[in-house]
Amino acid sequence: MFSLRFVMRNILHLFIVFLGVSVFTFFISHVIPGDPARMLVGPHASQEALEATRAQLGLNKPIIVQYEKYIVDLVHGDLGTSIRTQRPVASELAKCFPATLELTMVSMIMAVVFGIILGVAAAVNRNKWIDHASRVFSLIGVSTPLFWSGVIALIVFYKVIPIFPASGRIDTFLSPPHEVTGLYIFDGLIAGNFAVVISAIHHIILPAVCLAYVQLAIVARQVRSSMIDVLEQDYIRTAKSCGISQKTIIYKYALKNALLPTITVTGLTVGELLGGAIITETIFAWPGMGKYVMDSIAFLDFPAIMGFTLVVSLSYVLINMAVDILYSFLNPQIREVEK
Amino acid sequence: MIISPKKIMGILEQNTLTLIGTIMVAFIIFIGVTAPLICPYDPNLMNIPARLQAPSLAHFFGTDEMGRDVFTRVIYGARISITVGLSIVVIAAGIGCFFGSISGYAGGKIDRVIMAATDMVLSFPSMVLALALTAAMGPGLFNTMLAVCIVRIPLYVRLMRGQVLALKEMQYVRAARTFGERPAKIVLRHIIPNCLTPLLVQMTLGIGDAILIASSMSFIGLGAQPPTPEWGAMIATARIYAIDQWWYAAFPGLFILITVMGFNLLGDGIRDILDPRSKD
Amino acid sequence: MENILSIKNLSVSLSGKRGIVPILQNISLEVEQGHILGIVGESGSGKSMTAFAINQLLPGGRKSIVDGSISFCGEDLTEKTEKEMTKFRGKEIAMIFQEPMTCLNPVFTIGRQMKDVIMTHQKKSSKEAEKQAEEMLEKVHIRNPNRVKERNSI
Repeated sequence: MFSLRFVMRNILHLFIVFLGVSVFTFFISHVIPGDPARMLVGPHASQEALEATRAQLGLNKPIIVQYEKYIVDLVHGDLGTSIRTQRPVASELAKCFPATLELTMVSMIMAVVFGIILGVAAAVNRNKWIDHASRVFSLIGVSTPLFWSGVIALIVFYKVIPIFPASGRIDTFLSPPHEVTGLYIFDGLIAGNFAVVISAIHHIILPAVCLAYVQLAIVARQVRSSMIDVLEQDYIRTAKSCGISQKTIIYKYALKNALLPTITVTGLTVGELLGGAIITETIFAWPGMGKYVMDSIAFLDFPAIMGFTLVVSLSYVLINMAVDILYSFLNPQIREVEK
Repeated sequence: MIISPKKIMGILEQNTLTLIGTIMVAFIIFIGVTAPLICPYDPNLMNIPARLQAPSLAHFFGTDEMGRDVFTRVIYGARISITVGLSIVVIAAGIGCFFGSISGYAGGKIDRVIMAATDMVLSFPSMVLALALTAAMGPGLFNTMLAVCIVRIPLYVRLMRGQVLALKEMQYVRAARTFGERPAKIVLRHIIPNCLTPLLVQMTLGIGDAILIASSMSFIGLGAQPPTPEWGAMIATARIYAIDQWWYAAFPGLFILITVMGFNLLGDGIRDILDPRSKD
Repeated sequence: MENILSIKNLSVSLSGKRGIVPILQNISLEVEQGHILGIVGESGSGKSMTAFAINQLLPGGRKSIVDGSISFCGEDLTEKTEKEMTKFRGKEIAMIFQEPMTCLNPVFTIGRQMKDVIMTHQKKSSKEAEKQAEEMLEKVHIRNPNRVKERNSI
């Protein structure tokens, strides 16, 4: 399907970016702080622990040697030890990962699906009330701080109109489904445990909606703008002159073209969602990586913070690469070139 | 590209949303500047017996857990946020445009190096990078501002580079080169004045974004530290009391919303007015 | 001979940022059955706009036609709704555009787009429509019609 050159080029690019990310995180964790050893053991550690870490880091050795050790540890999956819990950061992050994955995935699906619906509706009904309403809606979405919308959502939908729960992934009296993927909704469905599925959905709605709102606004704006551009193109006029119905033109001809740039925006969306998860998970006591890093910050647990940064950034890079490849595949002009 | 004040007024009248945005921004700047004059209390004045009171005539926005007047603290917060937003954007734009123009004009190896550095920063989600940088430098408003600044620089590098690349091929630039004008002079005199519009638009929109990220950092605990009346920091404390004392969290956030919305409307409006090609 | 097309006192105006701009003023023409009418004019004189007006493809839609009537085989096209117009377009009235490069949708294959048009107006199955599309390409001497129809029009 794709030429060997294309595949090799992408793998090389991925490798280089990974390298760049690791250099940068190394720089942040080992070079910027005044005393990297102190950052890694925390303010309450004993003098012996501090000295031991100093020796381990080899702070008097050249930077290259320090970086080598950093990379070697990384490749072995060693992200250091959490100051707060005294356990390996890597395993703690792995434990929290599914919760964040589930929240992020649900948010993204919401943002993309409803964003497209809203964007198309606005573009097709330009300058009518739905267009104006969607633009105001989007404007508020990109201007609202995530931590505020979460708190307000809790006040309104937990206190004033009590329809949603305030914390956790499922009701406390239910036990989580048998773990296959760690995604409660999915695992619950596989196990046929509908009480869990319903509870999980009930708990995920409020945080997911808060997280999704911002991205939904961005997607809707992008889709609207793309659709308007596409609808003005010559080929739409050709289709219309051949008698093809308006409905077919919008949903079949125009939409596919308009969605291409939206794919690229979706990749960026993931990064924002991952960053926003920190805030949303904290407000809704969602036991994911975001809440983990928030707890770590309160403790100034530097290894945990850096471990989180590394994991999230590498995931972000991977996802964006996947998005780029998907875009190349879907855009016929690029596809022809790469074959 | 000189626009007379009369023309601006005419345009503002036509374009309602931009007018609203301008009013919002003007309002926030006004209250920030006149804070000591219009606030009934001192922002740090504690009054424990009056803690967590609902909004009233004495305390328009109620009081917080230390009995401080929320209204006063919100107004003082405007000062902090505007200063933070403006500083971040001005410095990021300054540095970004500097490197962007060099990158675009010089091309070749220099361009590749600068773009590689830019791409490296962009490989990280903005919030996550700001978080890591601030954690490494130590929590505090100044470090947060520095971190957010670094995160925003790539935007301006790319913007400027794109503009320079496009304008480099223009006739008047080529003509200037044949006269033997030095590159720095060409960039300053011919190229930059023509980039002002998109730059201004991005900077205005950027102020809103910077305020959002910076207040998020404060919310997380890495930015402004208590008792500074920064909006994000206030909401972080208010969260615990939010369910029963809604006013404590509601008002600071509302003002963030107004401020950011104002800058967004203003930025979009400037774009529509000065560059009609990019309009719908 | 009957007139297939009869345009009487057609006036078209477009509304934009600077108000309403008259594009066509009092155009009248007739095309008899079996005849070909050529319209010649400088760029910007309104030739394309007249053609678009016939097919109701003006930017701004039906409201752009300020005055006049367009009669096709006895029916007044200016009175038709959008849905009614789709029955004419591509079947009774066809349009060939100036810019061949931009006229087809780049994300769909050429064959697919031709098939869609055929199937919109005639009750044919997917395979029959595809075959007809291939035959049409052959008719205009496009080599390898079966390969061309699989390509996108880039």
